[in-house]
Amino acid sequence: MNIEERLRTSDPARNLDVSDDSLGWMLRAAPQASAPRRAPRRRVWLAGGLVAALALTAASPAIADGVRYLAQTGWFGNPNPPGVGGPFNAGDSTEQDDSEWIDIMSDDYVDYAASVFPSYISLPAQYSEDAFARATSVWRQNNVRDSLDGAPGAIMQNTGIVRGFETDARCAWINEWNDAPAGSARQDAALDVLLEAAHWDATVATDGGGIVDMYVVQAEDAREGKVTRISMEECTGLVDAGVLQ
Amino acid sequence: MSIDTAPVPTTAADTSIGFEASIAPLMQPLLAYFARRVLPREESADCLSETLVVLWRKRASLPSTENELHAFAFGVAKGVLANHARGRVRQSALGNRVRDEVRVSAPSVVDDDVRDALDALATKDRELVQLIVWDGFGVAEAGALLGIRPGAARTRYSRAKEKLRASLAAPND
Repeated sequence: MNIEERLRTSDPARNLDVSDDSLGWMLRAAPQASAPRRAPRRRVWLAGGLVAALALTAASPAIADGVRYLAQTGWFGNPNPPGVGGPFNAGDSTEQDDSEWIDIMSDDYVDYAASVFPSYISLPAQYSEDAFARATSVWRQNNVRDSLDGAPGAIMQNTGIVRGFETDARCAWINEWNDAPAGSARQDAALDVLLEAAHWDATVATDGGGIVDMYVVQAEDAREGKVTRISMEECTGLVDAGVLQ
Repeated sequence: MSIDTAPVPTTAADTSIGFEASIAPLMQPLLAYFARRVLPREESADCLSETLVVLWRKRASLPSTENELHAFAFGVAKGVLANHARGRVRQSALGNRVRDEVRVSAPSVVDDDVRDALDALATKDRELVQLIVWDGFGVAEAGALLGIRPGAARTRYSRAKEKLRASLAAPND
């Protein structure tokens, strides 16, 4: 046997057998996967010198209007104070929609967030809705605090908060599916929710391109037995924080 | 082996159909390229998906000839491989279907003697040998991918084979 033959017989890929069907699917899905998946979420909250002042100045009228939480700024849509220049130029607005900006560092942020946990989000049986909303909100607040890098405050739109809950709940259901016995009723129930969750309001509203489709494909692959485990890529923070049970 | 796709377009691969038709013939070779170099092997699916994403983003400037596209795609793959070594390739949903199939069909066990002999070569020589013998590149093409001139690639390849022959005691080559 000459040296090249010897090398060929040791080729780690000599028995590689991946179907053209799977590779074809992968190729067709590539344009969706290349969509800017994280862009909407990366800018979902803002930090800056004006943010703390904004939260302070906006809090008073909000309370005067009967709003219950200090976290509510009373400020909707474009993140710059009306008639005031600032770090967020109107021409480069980062708002997702016209929902209210919420002060994430406010003492009652977790109470506020728990109060807006959407009723359409269901959770696996072992979770209490309120406890889950609070645990994920504490985790998210801590994350933002760790990322502030000296900035005095941070704000996030209400839609971003709801979107966060949708993602967190999806993680709980993925974890449920991965933990349940293959083919069990628990897995079926989890998949039903995961398919529905791909179309939850804030997920659809903040889809920068291909997100909803990716979630649907992920759930359908699980239903068709093409995967034995659903990726927890988006859930590592919650896992590390011990929020998922 | 071929992948079921739409007819090959005559224009640049800057539409999804054109892109699929252009890249489909490269899917198996690219996956094998990663499967030969990535551990655990199933992560080759993620490397392939990363490569596809990069190629899709560059679709407007992909070379129009088959040979140039082949070289270009493997150049991208080489970069992705480097990122994988730095831990910068993430598991993606795009690779889910392929990951399990790779795990089953490309076990991580290889011939220890061959692996040791290859490991004893200089990095570029080892990669040159692998590109030629495993990935089917010509000597000049493999050299180009590694930034080595054709003449130097031939010399390096010949020398590397001598070293491998000595290491593996293969007198019949």
